[in-house]
Amino acid sequence: MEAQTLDLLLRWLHFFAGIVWIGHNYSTLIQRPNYTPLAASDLTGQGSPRFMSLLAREHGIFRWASVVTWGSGILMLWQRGWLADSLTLTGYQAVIGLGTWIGTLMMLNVWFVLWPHQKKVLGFVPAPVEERLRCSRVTFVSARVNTMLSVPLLFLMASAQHGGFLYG
Amino acid sequence: MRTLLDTARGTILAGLALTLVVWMIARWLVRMGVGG
Repeated sequence: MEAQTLDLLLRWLHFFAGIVWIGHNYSTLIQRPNYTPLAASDLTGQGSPRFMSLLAREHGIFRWASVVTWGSGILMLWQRGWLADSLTLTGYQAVIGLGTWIGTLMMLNVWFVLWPHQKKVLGFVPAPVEERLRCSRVTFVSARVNTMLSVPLLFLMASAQHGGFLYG
Repeated sequence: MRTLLDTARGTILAGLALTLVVWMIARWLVRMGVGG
């Protein structure tokens, strides 16, 4: 496959998976804009509506979309020969490089902060109710941190390609 | 403890403020040639 075609396919995949991932995140922001703490009864009551709704929303799509987004971004940089300069923030590649690091943090946040805590909240991993309530706060803040980080990340993605005048 | 991230508006405002900071860092890195 020609490098140009591969680049286009990776870019398409990067956009698509990124929208699936961050789309889930933005959807939560719009539907539940303000933090409302869970109560112990939400987690212990039989068929509590809030717990059932949390459970119904749980699936792996956005977590795996984060891996596809990150992987396609890294492959795109690699096949252009830009990966090392990006990661070391060298020259103009510092712009997309900062984006790469922010995106990496976001993916690690999903897998190593949000998901382990979410497993306790949902009871996939046994934990006392106080611990599950504490974890529910962590999952909220973790998700919101990714929402916040997506704003500068999108700016870096756009300006690395179309905003050279901003960095001259 | 309540934080700016507890509301959607606060989250987006924090993201915009961070964008300004990140842009300034990127501009500094490109101009100074750090890492190059």
